Amino acid sequence: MNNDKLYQNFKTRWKEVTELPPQNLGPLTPVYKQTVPYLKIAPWRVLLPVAFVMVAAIALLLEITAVQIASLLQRGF
Amino acid sequence: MHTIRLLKRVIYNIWGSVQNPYVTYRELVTQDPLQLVVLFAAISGYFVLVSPLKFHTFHPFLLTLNIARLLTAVIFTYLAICCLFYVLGLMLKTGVKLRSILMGWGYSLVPTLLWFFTTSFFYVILPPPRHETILGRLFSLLYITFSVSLFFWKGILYYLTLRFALKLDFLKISLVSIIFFPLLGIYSYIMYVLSVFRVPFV
Repeated sequence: MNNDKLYQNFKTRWKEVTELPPQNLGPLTPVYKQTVPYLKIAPWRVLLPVAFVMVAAIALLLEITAVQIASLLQRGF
Repeated sequence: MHTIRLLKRVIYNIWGSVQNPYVTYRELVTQDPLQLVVLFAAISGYFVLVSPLKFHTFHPFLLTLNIARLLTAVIFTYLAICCLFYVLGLMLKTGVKLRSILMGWGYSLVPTLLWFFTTSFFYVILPPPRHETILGRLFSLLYITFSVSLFFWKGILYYLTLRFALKLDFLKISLVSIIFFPLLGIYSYIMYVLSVFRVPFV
């Protein structure tokens, strides 16, 4: 009985692993494999600071201000 | 009982798509598509709540007309995108199942709904325009950061939909994206010109 369940679990896991083609980005594959773990679990921990830094950088560099963009976006719904 | 289990499953999947999107999407593309009813019920509820604000009227006929128009546009957009992905999946000869695409893309509407809901909420609490004061700038920065984060989250869910529902690798995902995004841009422009959505509900 246990062997049947173990075998079924093995089959499910085997199918999970083999049905997807592995990711291959050529020379960028190591970079991809280092980046992806941060996005697989609680990606908001990375996304929120990155978004804040991006927005602050763009607000400083471009003439259009965050206030103008926010006013525009607030009417977007 | 079944309804409660369904609701619990939907909430669990939404939470999972925030905390653990990779594992959650791997599982949810094989789950019962009845969960989409709950998601679209939430979207319908949003449009019912926001229509008086959006169209500046409480007239029942006008509200019903506009809610129907918005819902039709959302459902049409959703089905059109799913069909596009299905056709592209068939052309790329992957093991594509329409049910998986419907589930994957359906749950990717959660960040969209969250953004629309938050934007509507702040439209009532802090109506635009914002001003060049310290508080105005702070709110603007935080609001745009929130919007960009949701946009990135949507991007992750888009990628996971193509990865698990269409079983594509990175190169094929890029090829699909090259076809998908220009079409989405044209469609969004048409929606804007027709005054259906300023920001597309995709």
